[in-house]
Amino acid sequence: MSSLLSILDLGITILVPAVVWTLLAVGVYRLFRESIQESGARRQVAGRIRS
Amino acid sequence: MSNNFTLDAHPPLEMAERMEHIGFKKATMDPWSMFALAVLAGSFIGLGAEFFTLVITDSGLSFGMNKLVGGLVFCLGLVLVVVAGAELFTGNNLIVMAWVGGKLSLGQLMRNWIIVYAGNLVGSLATVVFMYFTRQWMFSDYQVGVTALNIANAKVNLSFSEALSRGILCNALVCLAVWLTLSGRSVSDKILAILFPITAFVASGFEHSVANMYFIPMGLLLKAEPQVVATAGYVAADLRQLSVQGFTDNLVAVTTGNIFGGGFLVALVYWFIYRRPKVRAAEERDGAASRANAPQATQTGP
Repeated sequence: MSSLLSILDLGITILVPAVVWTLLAVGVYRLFRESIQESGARRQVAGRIRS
Repeated sequence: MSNNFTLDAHPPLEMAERMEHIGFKKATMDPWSMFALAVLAGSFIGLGAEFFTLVITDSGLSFGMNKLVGGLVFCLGLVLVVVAGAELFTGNNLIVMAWVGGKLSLGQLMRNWIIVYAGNLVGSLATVVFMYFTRQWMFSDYQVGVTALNIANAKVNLSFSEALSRGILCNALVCLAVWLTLSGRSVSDKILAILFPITAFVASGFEHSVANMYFIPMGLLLKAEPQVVATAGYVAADLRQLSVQGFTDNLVAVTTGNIFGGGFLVALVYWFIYRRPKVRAAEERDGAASRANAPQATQTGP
């Protein structure tokens, strides 16, 4: 029983952070990409207005 | 006259729809407004934490009653957040519903979480500084300070697994409290909805990342007060873990648990039950059928 609990404890301690940190890492990467795309689009519009 | 007036609580299906809509509005808010509201939420939770520290000090109650009373007064924080309106990181884990529902991108969700987390930290730390200068920790012959120091020291001495599990359960209850407020129509409905889940999490000793942004820095300041340390009966070695490193280690574990508890165990589960595409299509079919079968409205009265 105690070994089962140890395995569960290890599983939760590894799996939960793995799931959450993967979500955060992918999210930050997406946020970074969206920000670059947005600023590129804004530059294009500003360029078109100037020309 | 319209017959639409009702005092019934919103059913869970409507709550899920409202959460997706609210999630979209929260995540697409102007970043400066979002940050200002997050600073407010951080200070509101700090005030709840301060109230909790004061009330449980030397209360003369039994263990369970002391926890119960502490939990009840801590509700102040979330009542202020929900009723006055503010952006709290732990509550915003429910925005996962809007993301999985396709209303938001993952980038937009992350932008909200990062800004709100930073704002909550600023608000909590500002409250710590103000509370420190009130010298309230000297009350009752430094006993209030001793309570604050004990709380902070206990938190930084938790193992990763303990902090993670307590973080998961804490935010499952916090998000359930926020979820329940979506069923309410009045301020009193919302306050009653908050009361039991929040009291349960505080009384059970679960870990809330934003509350810890108040509790642990307050302990760090009081660690430098010899009177408080002496009254608590600590020697330097007892407070070794109470450091900035201990604070960040606690926040990493608790925040991870909070995201899992709120975002996965509450938001994702309720999205699966009420808002996944198959269920939504069936709901729309039922809605269209009931509209088609409804009797024509007749004009009554003069």
